[in-house]
Amino acid sequence: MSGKRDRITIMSDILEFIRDKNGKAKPTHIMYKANLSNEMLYDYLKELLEKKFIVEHKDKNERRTYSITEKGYKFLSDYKQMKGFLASYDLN
Amino acid sequence: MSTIFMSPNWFLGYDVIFELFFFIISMVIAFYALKVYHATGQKLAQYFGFGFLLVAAAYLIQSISNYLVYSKLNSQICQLANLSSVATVDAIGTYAYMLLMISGFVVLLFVSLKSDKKRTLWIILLTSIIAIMLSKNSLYTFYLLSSIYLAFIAWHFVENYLKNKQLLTLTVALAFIFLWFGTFHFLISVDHELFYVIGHILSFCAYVMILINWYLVKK
Repeated sequence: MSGKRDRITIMSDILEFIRDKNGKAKPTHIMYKANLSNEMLYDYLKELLEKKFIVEHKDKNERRTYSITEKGYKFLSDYKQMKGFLASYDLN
Repeated sequence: MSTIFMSPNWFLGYDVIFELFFFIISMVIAFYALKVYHATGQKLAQYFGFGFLLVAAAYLIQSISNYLVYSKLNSQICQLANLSSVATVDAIGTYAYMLLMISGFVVLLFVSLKSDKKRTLWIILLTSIIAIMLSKNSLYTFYLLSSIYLAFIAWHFVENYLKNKQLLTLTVALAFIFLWFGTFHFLISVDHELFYVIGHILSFCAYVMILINWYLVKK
């Protein structure tokens, strides 16, 4: 299993968690669910934001939440198909 | 020498259509595997993609070569002067087909072996190519080696199905069993024309299975 694949798996785990939370989640919840350190979490969130898979929201107390975008849903769908393909041909 | 001379007359032309169909499906699988590699970094997907790309190229060469030989024979059957050009197209096409296809099968075999040593790939590839090129009956040797490699690849996918009993893994296992069985029929079609037709039908079943798997993955 390569490092790149681990990264993509974690990214999809984060997106799945946000999706399952009605499309919106707090960073602390994501951190616990994805079992990541604070530093790692923000590294992943930064990448997800850059790829426009999620968007950041801030309330009046500057508390952040993240919601999944259409592009994020599309990524999850594509990733599920890729996992199916890899499993079909035993390429894991 | 050509695969086309193993075909019964009534099947000439139909085989070209079959081979173009195999080419299209192989290309789809190759490009998707390479897309998966770019997205996931999964090295086996890259090898798998290259393997199918070689198989697709082999089918394309085979269909073009068969079409050219068939059309030349059709239009110039009585012109003895042109028989040498037919033989040249036939020889180039057949050798290109055999080398590309055996390379594709070797890469797929390497993927199924899950070896991280590239030397394994090169040693199988080199010995296969040398065996085909030095053989008195290259086509027979090619089909014999292909049958052996596909038997091992099919075995791997059957094991994968038994480990992970899903429709996805079943379709792939069946596809490679059909492909192996089809190649075995090509092997015996050197002496019996009808097996050439059966080989194409079995290969068609294999690629339909791959198509079904593709549909299930993308659903």
